[in-house]
Parts: sequence; structure tokens; C-alpha cells
Amino acid sequence: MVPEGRRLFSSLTVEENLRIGGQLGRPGPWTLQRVLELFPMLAERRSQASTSLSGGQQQMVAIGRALMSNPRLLLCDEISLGLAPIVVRDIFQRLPTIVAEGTAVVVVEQDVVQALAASTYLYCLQEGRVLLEGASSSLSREAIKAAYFGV
Amino acid sequence: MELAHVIIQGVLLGGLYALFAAGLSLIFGVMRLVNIAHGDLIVVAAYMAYFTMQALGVGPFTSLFVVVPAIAVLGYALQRGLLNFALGDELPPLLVTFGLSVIIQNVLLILFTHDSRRLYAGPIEMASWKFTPDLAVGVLPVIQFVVAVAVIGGLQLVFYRTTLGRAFRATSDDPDIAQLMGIENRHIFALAMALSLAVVAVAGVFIAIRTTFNPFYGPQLLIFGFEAVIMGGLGSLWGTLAGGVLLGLAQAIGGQINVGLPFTAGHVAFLLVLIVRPQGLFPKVSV
Repeated sequence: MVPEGRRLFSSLTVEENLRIGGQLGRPGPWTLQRVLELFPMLAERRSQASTSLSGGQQQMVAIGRALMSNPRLLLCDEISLGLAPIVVRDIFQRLPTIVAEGTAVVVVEQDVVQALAASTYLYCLQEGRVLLEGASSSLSREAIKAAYFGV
Repeated sequence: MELAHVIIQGVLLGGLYALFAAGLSLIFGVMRLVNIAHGDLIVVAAYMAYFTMQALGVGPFTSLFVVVPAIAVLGYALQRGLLNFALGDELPPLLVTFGLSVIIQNVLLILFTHDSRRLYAGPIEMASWKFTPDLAVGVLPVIQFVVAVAVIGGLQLVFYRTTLGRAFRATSDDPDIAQLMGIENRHIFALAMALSLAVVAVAGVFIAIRTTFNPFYGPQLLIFGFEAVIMGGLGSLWGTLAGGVLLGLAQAIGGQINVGLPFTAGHVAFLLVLIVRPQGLFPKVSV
């Protein structure tokens, strides 16, 4: 679970935040070592306070913290919230690595371009109802636009 | 020489206040609970030590081997059975622990009467080291201070070097997310209370050797603890030690000026710190 707004533990270091995620000890591919390989910039900052990181780095910690529990399903709420587009792209580029380890990923995302590029299947929701769904490769941006705005 | 003597006495006494305060500080830090019954629990620990000594024929320090685990279990049960249900808002924990304080005092009164009691530690109470012909330092206050520093150092280690401490800090930061990460908050809170009362037991035994206690002695101890915590700065354990020492010093100096003055002097020092530095000497929590 990667909560909206990241919600890291502010008095803990980067490494402590990650370890908290893994403290239940569920076995699986993700260890502290692997998470730091996935996000190398966290490795250099592992003993820093989590609050001293940039928004993008904090988002990486939040994702890493969730991965440490070796979930079968990773839920990401609004990864792009408040982040620069380049950082968002950087983070989305790591998702295939996570999926390759056998973890299903559900991303709630407003950035349609990123969402289309990163996903295999897409749902458009409005007020709790599914307006449109389909394999990401089969949906055009026009179709999504039409579903939301009716034009 | 007189002044040196007063200062040393004050600092050593401060260790005791720091012990009272460390337990309060820990609970507040982890779960934002202001424990009004803290002083009464110190008195409970003193009674437990009193009867352990009688039953087993041991000294007050040996009795800690029984009292510390016993009161820690009591603390765990108290938190899981009662206080966890009061958390979440500011007022309910205050009311519940205030009620608890009244109940503890009256139960102690029914069980043990209003008689004042003391724990006797034997010849060590009178022992002292003479540094110069004018300057002697009691062995017991020194032990008390060393134990206080050791306990606070130990708590610091637990907080920053162990898995349990990490869980304490994470829960303190964001209880909802901590729960999402598989931390059982109710269990963590109960462990914090157990740890707090373990510290209380040590404090209770030292205070009961130093002075007599009765069922209604708790609130006064609570005030000292509060003053030390707030002077030191919320959430900082070493700050709490500094706050305790400051309070001890103020009382010792006040007592030197006039025999009736020590407590007043302590309160005045507390108010001065609040005026000059309301966040305390070494604040950590920014809430």
C-alpha cells in the first residue's frame, strides 16, 4: 500500500522507514538490498531523516516501504501527486521491474499518459462507476477523453 | 562549601525527578497520553516494594526484581483493558486517568490506611563520601542519580536502536500508517505503558527510601514529573533529565534560603522557564 501523499514516518530515517515495511517478515523477492538497488538514490541517503528528502525521493521510500512487505498486490494511490513530471516518469519507469517480480500493481493516477504507458489494463472511473475499461494498448486518448467529457 | 553542597544535593535530587518525568514523557511521546495517575502509580510501586520486602525479607533494591516485572504487567493490562479505549482525543485520556488517580488513592486508603510508611534500606542510607572536612556526599543520592542516568540512557537506546523503539516512533508519527505496516498499535501502546511503569517502579522505590509516603502522596509527585518534563522539552529524554536537574537545583537552593521554600522555588523556576522558553530547554516534538 502506497498511500496518497506518501505519509512517511517523519522521525524515522529512510532505512528505518523501509525496515518498518518489512518487519512482518513475509518472505519474497523484496529485501532492503533489492529495494535500494531499485532506487539507488535512496542507498546514499539511507541514514538521512525521511523529511530531508525531495518529494520524488520520498515517494520512492513510500513505494519501497510497501514493497518490503512482499505484497502480492501493490496499491499505489496518486504517485504523481505534487511531483515534477520528470520525477513522475522516473518512478513509473521502475514499475515494470516490480511487476517482473510477480507483484500485481494497481495504480490510481490522474496523469493519463503515464497511466496508459505503464499499465496493461485500464479502468476509467467517474463518481464510483466504471465508464470505460480495456487493455491499455487498445484504448486511445480520444476514447478516454470522450468517456470523461462526453465530447 | 555550603553552596557546592547545595548544588550537588540539587543535581542528585534532580535525577529522581527525571525518573518520574521519563515515564510520563515516554507515554506522552508514544501515544499523546497525559497520565494524571502517574504519581499514584509511583505510590502503588512503593507499596508493592513495601510488601515485597516484608513478604520475602529482602531490601528495597532487591524488591525491584519483583516489583518491576509485576508493575509492568499491570501497566500492560491497564493500557489494553482501559486506556486504549480512551485514546484519540485530548480530553478523554485526561478524564480517565484523573478518575484512575482518585480510585487508586482511595483503594490504597482502604487497603493500607492513612499511615505513612517508608522503605528502610539499612546503613547505606546514612553512608556518605567525605571529599573535604566540609563536603560530604551521600552514597544513596549518588546511586539514585547514576541509576536515573542509566535508565534514561537505556530508554534512549531502546528508542533509537531497537525494533521496538522504531515501532514506538513510527506509531507516534502516524498511528494509521503504522497499522497499515502491520504494527499492532494497541500492543505497542501497552508495551510503552509497561515500560513507563517499569521506570516508575524504580522511581517509587527511591522516593520511598528518601521520604515517607501515604496513599495521597501521588499528585505531588505528578507535579514534579510534569514540571521536569515541560522544563526539559516534550519528547526529549535527555531534556527530561536536564529538566529534572533544574527542578532539583531550584528546590535545593530554595530550601537553603528558607526551610519552607523548596517547593515554591521549584514552581517559580518552572514558571520562569515557561515564560522565557515555553517550548522547554530541548524540545523534540513539534506538535
